[in-house]
Amino acid sequence: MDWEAYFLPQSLEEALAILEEKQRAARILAGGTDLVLQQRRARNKAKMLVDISRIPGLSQIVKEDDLIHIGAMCTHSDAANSTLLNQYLPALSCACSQIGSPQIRNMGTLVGNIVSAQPGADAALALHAFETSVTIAAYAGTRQMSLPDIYAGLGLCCVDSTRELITRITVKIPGKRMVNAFERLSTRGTLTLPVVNTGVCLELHDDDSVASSRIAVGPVSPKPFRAVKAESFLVGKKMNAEVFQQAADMAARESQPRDSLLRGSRDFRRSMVSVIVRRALQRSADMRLTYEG
Amino acid sequence: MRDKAKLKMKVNGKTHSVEVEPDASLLEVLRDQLNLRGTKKGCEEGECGACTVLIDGLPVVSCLTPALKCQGLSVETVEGMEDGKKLHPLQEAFLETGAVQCGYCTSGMLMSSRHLLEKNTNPTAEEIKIGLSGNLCRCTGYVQIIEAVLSAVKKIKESEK
Ligand code: FES
Ligand code: FES
Repeated sequence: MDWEAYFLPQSLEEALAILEEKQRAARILAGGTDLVLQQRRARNKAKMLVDISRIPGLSQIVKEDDLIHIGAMCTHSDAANSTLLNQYLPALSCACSQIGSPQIRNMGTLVGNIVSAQPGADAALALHAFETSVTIAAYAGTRQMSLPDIYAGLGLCCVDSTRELITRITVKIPGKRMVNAFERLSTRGTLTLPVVNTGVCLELHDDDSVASSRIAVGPVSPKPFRAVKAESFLVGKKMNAEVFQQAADMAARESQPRDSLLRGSRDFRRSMVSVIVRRALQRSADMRLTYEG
Repeated sequence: MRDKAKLKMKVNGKTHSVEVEPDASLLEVLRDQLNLRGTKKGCEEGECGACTVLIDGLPVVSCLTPALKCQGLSVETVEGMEDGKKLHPLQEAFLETGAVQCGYCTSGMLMSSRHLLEKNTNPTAEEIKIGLSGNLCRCTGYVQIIEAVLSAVKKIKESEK
């Protein structure tokens, strides 16, 4: 695995001081499911690791007005079992419940899912269905960044884990009349990459017509992708199967999946975008009915 | 220039202090330093579940867990399942139903099943499949393993009567 030292700081200040002192030779580690593999495969090897699991308060999920904060050590299992997330952001808890395997979900974190910057990463993709930002702490100070801006390219994140770390994710809960859902297609139920995945979120007017919509689709471009044409098509429309089908077809047309040995051919994956977007929209609408019923 | 590090953790209820390489995995320390070879090394990539142990009660893959992450924590391995000379009902059930063929997946399966039964004392076959979805078996076809867990549930209930 090849690292020479392993630190377990007890506070954020201590973690940042170590990064500062080691001058880019040390890297932040949370769950380790991605980083430990990278270290073994000799990609971006770090000489030292700074494990943030002992810093108090980082695994919390809390609500503050219309914001939900998710701490840096919050695992996929924590998110999948969170009553707050299940109530307000079911798209996110659902995505987290399908990542990897039970063991991986007990280790891997949502923040790690963002930092690894894979366009199909289920949790990060679901977060794109919302207005999401992250808080980044560095020795010099703290800053905020919005989620789409954090992607620097395929597998590249603007946050440099040898200098700084994301301390929390903040998701804005869309208005009161809001529904959201996640869908994923894969060759098996567990331990597989998604062929395609999607997170959708609709805000509704009182008459149940769509006030605003977000449709995130992955992995169909180097960065997480929003189907903006389908999104604007939905605005003002009443929710019904036909409208959903049309929006899903538009989303498929504007997505640019590539041929992939693991995920399937471009044409297949594009037609599957239509299937999962339609399902996710339909499931959101069904959720609305259960809420009212 | 690498110094060994001191690792203190509880394994199966007993506190151990060991000097470890800073980059050792929990799996390596368990097998090679503590001589607990029940935990298996399969893929070493987090995909097969053969190396599953519980850390603070939760199943994780020990091959991707840096040993030093366990500083001060409590680890449970398959060796901790039996009570004195008596096998855990899950172990008995695995033997009786033929859920063990080559046995390579068994300790991981047992650890995941044990966690499942701690959370849910009466799981359905479907819930067992989900609970064991991170453990691969290339021999049994899984049918006997699910049977074994169901049979262990019965055994535990009967023993509590
Ligand atoms: S050896 Fe750890 S998951 Fe396969
Ligand atoms: S018994 Fe051989 S892998 Fe499961």
